[in-house]
Amino acid sequence: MTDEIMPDSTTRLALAEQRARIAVAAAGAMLVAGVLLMATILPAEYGVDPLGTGKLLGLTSLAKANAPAVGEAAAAAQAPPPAELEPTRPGANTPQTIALKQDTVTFKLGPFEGIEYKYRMEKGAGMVYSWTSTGKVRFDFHGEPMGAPKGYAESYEMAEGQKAAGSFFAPTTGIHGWFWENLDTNDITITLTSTGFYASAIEFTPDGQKPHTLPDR
Amino acid sequence: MNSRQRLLLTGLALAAIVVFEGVAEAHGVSRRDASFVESIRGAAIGPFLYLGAKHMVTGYDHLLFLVGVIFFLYRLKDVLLYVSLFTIGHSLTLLGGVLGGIHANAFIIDAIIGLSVVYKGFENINGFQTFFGWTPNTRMAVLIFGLFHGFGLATKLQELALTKDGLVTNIVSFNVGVEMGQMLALTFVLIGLTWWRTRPGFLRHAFMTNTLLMTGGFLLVGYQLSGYMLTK
Repeated sequence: MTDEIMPDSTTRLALAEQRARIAVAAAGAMLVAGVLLMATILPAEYGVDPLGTGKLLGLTSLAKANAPAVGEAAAAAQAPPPAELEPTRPGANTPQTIALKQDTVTFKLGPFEGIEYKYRMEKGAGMVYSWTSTGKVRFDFHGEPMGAPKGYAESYEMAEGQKAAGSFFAPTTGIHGWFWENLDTNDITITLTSTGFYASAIEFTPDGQKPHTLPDR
Repeated sequence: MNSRQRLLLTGLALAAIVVFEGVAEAHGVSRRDASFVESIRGAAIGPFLYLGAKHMVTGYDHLLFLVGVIFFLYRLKDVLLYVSLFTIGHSLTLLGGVLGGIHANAFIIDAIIGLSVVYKGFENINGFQTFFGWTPNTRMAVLIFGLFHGFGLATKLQELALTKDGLVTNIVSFNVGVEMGQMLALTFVLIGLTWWRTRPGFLRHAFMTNTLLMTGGFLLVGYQLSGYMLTK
């Protein structure tokens, strides 16, 4: 009863019977994989819900955290590729068409927790910013150009410290902002204040993305 | 070369074309690791050793394939032979892929890795022999799928924007880390399998286990292919 699964064994069961058994196993494997894929993975990972099980099990809400990323990638695929990523050299004055906004946010981070906060800005749009932290953080001020491959980021400043301030002109249209990581063993608070020509802001946490709508100044 | 081998080679050539027309997609490396690696200038042997080992130990697709490969290998000599073939395969494409700047599509590569799991499960239940009266050369298959696993590792490494400075040292460190992680994982898998083989249930459950292996492989293929189609 056990020999037929040995690689080198000759058949003890009739060949037809053995074939049927393997065919059932292979088809079963494919079927189970297909059902699991459609019932759980597609809704949870990609927000596609062909069987309605995603909604039933609440998996689509899980996907919503990922969905903007997928949507962004799709939008990025349609958008023309960013021409050249050379930094703009604004003159003494760069006229802006959108409303000036001001934003002050605070983040509480537990030991070794990280958070990301970015502004959606057009190429050439400017802002001034200043942030302080009650403990030492590692930070990466960076931007993700729209249309760039997923996961691509340009770093503007990467260091460790407790504060930074500056004026920034977006070299590309996309989202630009900070990744902070608490290097302290205590809880810390980071306070960011900025004024600039950005449309909105997005907060990225391990739980997902949270858009911030910002009032006009 | 008989017609089956020719068919196999044609299939592989087609797969290679599909893979390389794709663009590199980023996934799989945590933001923290990525931001750390981006901040590295020059050679950093320790961190890359660690990242390579971490990728292997937490890479269930590689582990499933290895479980399939050594499932029916009773002699240590055979285990060493097959693992060496797998290692040669993935090291070639890991080093060649990153140094040669070959950007394979991560979804397609990961789908092929899933397919390698399906293949091994199917072979373990004697599917090729029973259905086609012919079994692909297992050593060749392990080597060739090793090449694809290497491209998979290369895409993960390429997600970390590496600087030219100390590139070769870092890639080799990553590769050595992968082997260390593989040895570590294999040790546990072998201990588990060896113990299980002494139990009376082993052969009775072997068929089911390899069917489950195939299920896992199909799941990986579906997951990656739908990712390829939905996020393109």
